Amino acid sequence: MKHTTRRFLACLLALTMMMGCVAFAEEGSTKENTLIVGSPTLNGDFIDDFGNSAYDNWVKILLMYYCGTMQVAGNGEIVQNPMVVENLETATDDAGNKTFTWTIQKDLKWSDGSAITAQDYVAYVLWKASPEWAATGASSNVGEKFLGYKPYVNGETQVFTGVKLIDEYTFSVTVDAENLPYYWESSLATVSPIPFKAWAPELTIASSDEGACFEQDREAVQAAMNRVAQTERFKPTVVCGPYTFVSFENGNVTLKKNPMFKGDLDGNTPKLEYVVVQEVPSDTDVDMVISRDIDLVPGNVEGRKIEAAKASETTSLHSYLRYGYGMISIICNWGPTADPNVRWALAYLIDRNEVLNYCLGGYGGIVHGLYGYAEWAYQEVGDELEELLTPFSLNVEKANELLDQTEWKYEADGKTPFDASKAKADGSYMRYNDKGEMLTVRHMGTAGLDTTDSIEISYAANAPLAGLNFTVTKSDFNALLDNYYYSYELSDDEKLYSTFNMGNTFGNPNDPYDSWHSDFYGTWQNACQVNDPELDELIMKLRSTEPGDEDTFLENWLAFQVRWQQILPQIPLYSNEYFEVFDYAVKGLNTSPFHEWPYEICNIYKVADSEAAKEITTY
Amino acid sequence: MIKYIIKRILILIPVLIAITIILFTINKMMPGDPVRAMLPTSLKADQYENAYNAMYQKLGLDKSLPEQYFRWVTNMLQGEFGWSSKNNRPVADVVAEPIRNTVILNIGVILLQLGIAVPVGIRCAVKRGKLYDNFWQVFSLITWSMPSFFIALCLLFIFAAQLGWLPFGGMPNAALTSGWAYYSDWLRYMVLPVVVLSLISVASSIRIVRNAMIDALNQDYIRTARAKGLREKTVIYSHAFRNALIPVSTVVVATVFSLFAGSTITETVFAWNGIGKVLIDAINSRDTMLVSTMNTFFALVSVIAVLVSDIVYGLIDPRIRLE
Repeated sequence: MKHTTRRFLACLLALTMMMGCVAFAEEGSTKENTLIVGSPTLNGDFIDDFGNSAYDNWVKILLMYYCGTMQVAGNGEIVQNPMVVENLETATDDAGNKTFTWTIQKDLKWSDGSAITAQDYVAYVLWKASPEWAATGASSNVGEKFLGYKPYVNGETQVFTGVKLIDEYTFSVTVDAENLPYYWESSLATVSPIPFKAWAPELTIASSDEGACFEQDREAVQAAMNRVAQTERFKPTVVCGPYTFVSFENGNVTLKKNPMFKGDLDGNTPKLEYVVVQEVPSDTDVDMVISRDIDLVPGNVEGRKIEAAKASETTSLHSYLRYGYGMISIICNWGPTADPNVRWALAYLIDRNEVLNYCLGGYGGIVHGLYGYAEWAYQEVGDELEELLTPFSLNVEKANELLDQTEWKYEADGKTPFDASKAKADGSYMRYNDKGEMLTVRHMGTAGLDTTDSIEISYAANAPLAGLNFTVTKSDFNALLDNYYYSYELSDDEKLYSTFNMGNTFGNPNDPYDSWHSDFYGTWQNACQVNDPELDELIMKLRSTEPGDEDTFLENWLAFQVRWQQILPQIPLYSNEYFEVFDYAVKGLNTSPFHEWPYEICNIYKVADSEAAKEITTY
Repeated sequence: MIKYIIKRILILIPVLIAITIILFTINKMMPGDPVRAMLPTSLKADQYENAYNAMYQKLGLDKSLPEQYFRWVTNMLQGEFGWSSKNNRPVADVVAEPIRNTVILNIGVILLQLGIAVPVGIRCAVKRGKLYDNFWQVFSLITWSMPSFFIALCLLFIFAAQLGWLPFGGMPNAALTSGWAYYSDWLRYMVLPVVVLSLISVASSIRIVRNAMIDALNQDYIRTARAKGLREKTVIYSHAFRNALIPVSTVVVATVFSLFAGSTITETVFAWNGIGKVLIDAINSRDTMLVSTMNTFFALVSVIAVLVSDIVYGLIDPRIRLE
């Protein structure tokens, strides 16, 4: 028995060692020419309009992103793509509609070697805006600013007025006058291609002065789109990005260099033959970089992991501040938090530095409004903004002053004025209104999140000192969605929670209209249910600034920021510092708040261990 | 025996119907909206509403609950397991690969578990009260008491972080390796999760085998066999072990049918793309169709396991046969 056990263990050990030596056995794929990126679970949707996964999105970027007429540069600027665009002409008609006529380069190719033509760009709009595409379960807002969008998307017509195919390499899109003027105007006119011939060889496009359309009937269009939604979506065969799709198996996506790819904004093509996005355990992902099993884990925020990576000799780090923040979102149209003084009191009752240290080990920054440090407007007028905004921090006295101006200024009898000096941490002396209702704010946070715990700790210590009863309920994210985004659907009895801890990453362009304008009051977009005419006016002034008029834009931006902070529908808690943790042999990874690693893929390369050196850099 | 089997199978039908009703009801009572969980937040309010309504109808949520239930059950009987709202694709497509991975992992676990439990359990019974027996008793108590994630993290620390012999987790990549390298990669990635799951299950198995063997070894026929001068090995393996097989068969049948049961915690810790992880993701995403279908499948496997176990009893011990 003893001998058998020993033999078994010896064989197992030998087998394990042998196995360790035979990884990357296939010719072509070596550790030197492959970038292995650690990721949480991928859903497996690899074309746009399906799924919410940020990790699937990495793959989508590598496969299809690079052929748009406009692109976001590393500094966040939206620029014309010189690899794609040969010429752009604009013209405005009498009604104020603006037509962008794009001429694309003639040497663009799909990964199968076929030419990328203007038809592929026109097909992109017709395809994604069509009701047939939505019927497959896809969700897209492509073309929404173009002339004739509504009748097309609603299925009233098959002709899309705002899109025209002019010749093999020229097409136009017309932005509806109702969306103009718009400061980020060029972003409205950006168009990308789809591999139309590969996806739907049976379909053709007709174009006239009236617009463009698929020539076939709706049934044929639907059949083609169903096919794409059931096949290409999971295994894209023809792409235009720097990498082609090889496989998605066992949670690993493997991509191979696309030899037909022309280049990124700077004309660079990929240097690494393979990219693998590999599902790894989130608890040990950074350890896997340190042990050199994988090459990169992007977007780390946990202090423990960052310290471990810093301590490793074979691990490099690159960091940038998030273009967004973690915050407490506040419902502004019912309950105590409908009063701005209560919202401001909440802001004065939390120690944000404590939250930052508790959640992120101090890796991050604190903002006082709806902006990010990397935002160009902040870079331009950040100092002025800081002077205009009120920098709030833990201040119980100030919170009491503000709450004294609300209806909750009495003791339990609803008559005797509340005396802040009697308030105790045990919550035995609280604020009431004249109806005898206690000042209570119910918070809902995702269970298991450090932010939820730190909010609970902070308010448990401070809120009773201002006579405020702050309760925390921990739930899963779906319940949070129901109570936060869809609070407007709840009956009065169901409305319990008025504050939520959430995360927010700004869009690019960062147009506040969609989230804060009263046009979206009573919808999920304006989740905080802000309805402020002054803010509406400032938003409209901001977005309708003439393109290129930076001075006016910045002036409007400052005014918007000030008003937003006065309303305070969110209490920004921290802006995370994201750390890319990667093997010291990996070079060229200069990510920014606007460019995650897939956007930088053409700059990334590997050096031999003998040339590798640990680096710690910041954007 | 055949009559008994038919009777048992017929009893399964109302049991399964009851199970499906209970599972369906529980899933429908879960808070949260599956359609909201699956739609992208990039859509504007009116686009969102259209997309929401379209998906709501596609998932059949606009129908009454009884209608939804009957549609679900009848579709399942025809081999259509519904539409996963989280993955926006058929449930069958979502679970195919994870079930395969879980089965592969569990084959390793079963081989290791039975390979250790049966010989060790027998030897513990034979050496009852001695150092060998005491060691395994303490060992099984410890492994049984420890949470699986703790064992997993300890093993990861030793074999992945410190020694670097084995990967921290994940799964092999067929696109980068092929042939022998690919299969050896499977083994590398499987070692730690298999060991963790085996350590947990082997504890109870050792005790069951040991106790069954102790009972058998105390029987008169064992004394008779020894008195006849038979070799100790013959006494233990031919006489005692055969009679100890009834409780052991329960372990074996349960183990074999547990092939399909994923281990949520272990699969998550090791990022093993198995069915346990899919199930927990589905629950968190309110993917009621996926959760209901998988739980029904597990329920079906369980009741079949009980049936097979009863049949095996009869085969092993003719006295138990129910005529």
